[in-house]
Amino acid sequence: MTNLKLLAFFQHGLHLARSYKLNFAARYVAAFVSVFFYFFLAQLFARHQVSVSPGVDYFTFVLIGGAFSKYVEIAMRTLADTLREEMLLGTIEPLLSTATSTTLALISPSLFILSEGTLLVFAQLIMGVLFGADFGHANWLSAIVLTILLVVCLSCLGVISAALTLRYKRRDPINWTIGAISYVFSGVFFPITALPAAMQIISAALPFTYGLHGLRGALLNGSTLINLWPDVFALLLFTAVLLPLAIIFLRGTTRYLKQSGAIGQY
Amino acid sequence: MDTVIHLDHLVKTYTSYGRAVPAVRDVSFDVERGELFGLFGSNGAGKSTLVRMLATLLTPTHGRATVNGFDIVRDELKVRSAIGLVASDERSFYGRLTCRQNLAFYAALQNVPRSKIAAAIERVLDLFNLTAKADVPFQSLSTGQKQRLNMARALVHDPPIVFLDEPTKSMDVQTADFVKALIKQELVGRQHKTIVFISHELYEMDNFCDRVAILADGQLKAIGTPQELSVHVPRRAIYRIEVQGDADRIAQQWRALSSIDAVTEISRGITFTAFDVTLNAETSGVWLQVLQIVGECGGRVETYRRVDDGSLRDIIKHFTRE
Repeated sequence: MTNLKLLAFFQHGLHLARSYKLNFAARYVAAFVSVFFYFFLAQLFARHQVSVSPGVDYFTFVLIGGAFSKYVEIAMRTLADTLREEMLLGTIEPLLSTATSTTLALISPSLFILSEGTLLVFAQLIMGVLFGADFGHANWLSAIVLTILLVVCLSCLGVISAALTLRYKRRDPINWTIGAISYVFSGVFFPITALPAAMQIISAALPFTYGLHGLRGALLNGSTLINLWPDVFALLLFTAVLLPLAIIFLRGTTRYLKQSGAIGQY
Repeated sequence: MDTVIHLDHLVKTYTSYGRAVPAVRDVSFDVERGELFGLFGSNGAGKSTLVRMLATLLTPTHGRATVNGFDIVRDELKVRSAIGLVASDERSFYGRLTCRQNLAFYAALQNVPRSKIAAAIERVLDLFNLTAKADVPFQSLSTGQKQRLNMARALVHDPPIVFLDEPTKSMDVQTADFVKALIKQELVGRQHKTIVFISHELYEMDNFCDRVAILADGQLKAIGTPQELSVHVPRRAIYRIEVQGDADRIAQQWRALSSIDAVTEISRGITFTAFDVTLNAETSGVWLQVLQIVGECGGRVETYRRVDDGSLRDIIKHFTRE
């Protein structure tokens, strides 16, 4: 029955996304335009003989960073934003009065956006290949495992953000800030080694840094999971800390909403 | 009788700025299967809090309750499968999705098998005269149609128990009558569902509910059939009497009778004067005295009718007064 409900949430998300036709189309256009942006940025770097590291093509480097940063956006913002929209529409109470577990009902509304985000990541990588991105040495198994680990880890942050949004009825500024910081300090556009040593401490505290480093290792150099164990270990460690926290936050918020009667309020 | 809803000393206390705010105080009652049960109270009486607890959206502070045999705290998913909830907020849908898409989503979440969802949607749309609107976006519906879709959603999984929190709010008189007839004849009469009908409007419940519970200030003040409740009300009757003759003298003599509580002049025309006469005992002897006085004063009774029929309004006034 849970699978059928997940399918229902997916279909529902698709219907909603398609009902905003311009917005729906704009997301795909934006994804493809960003590949152009990475391509011309790489051209500019090449013209000035700027290299991120020896033997690494900057276009492929930035394409991986840009495409996978979609997950940061989904985890940090979409989960909370979707619930916030449900609260604004007044649909959260009907949702929670169905025979669906509260956790599933709160997390699943973003299922379509997460799936669409994954599709867009791979669409961007495929389009990148057409523009000359080199995945000839890629280890796709490592890349897929790292993607799953990254999504699970970042989703824990998303759940915490969603719980805070549900409780305080406002966007959670802490996770929004972590999301914004991740773009700068996780090495999306440049290697973190380009940052001053003091700032690299911030990078080390962000799970996306390890996910991205591992993904680049897998996709650019064909590294195996054994080669990438420091990144895998770091992501597992973050998940081991964040997952119980996410569960505690979500349960605590659900309990608070049921005690305070604030479910339907916004 | 088969009890489907059982409340056992249910209490709900909110906390506001560190202060305890009681919303439901020690409420206990049972609702039988197939009953059309009214829950009446003014705004803030605790009706919606009570229903939200029974619908598992709120946790009770103390006490326990079962719905369809399941505990509202321990078996919340089983409770939710057995109930349909119509909240008073009719906008609680996805505006850009069609009625069919909205209902299909909720049907799936209510465990309706995938192969039966289409038929379930057709059934409820037909029930509420919304078939023509099936593929229209929710945001294009009128307020009354939105509220009917709200009810259709509550019934899409064919639950045995339905909580209707002010379901006819924002409906015109004809639509409200249609919906109430549907509830009484189809849902209760034919499908034998248990309905808990919540309202702060008296006319909604008069001659409609099998039993009524009256809530005031979070407390259960009374429960029973309107007839049972009327027993507790002091026997009084108000008659509107139109008389010809010396109206002032007649009124003065009426007021002198110990069996008359009040005489209120309603209107004075050229030939007739209308009074509301409140009798404190409903006996033929008292009524005879009233008529005799008119005759003794040289007047004549033109018309009379009872304007108070021991209705729910009086019953509620009696049980909720300070």
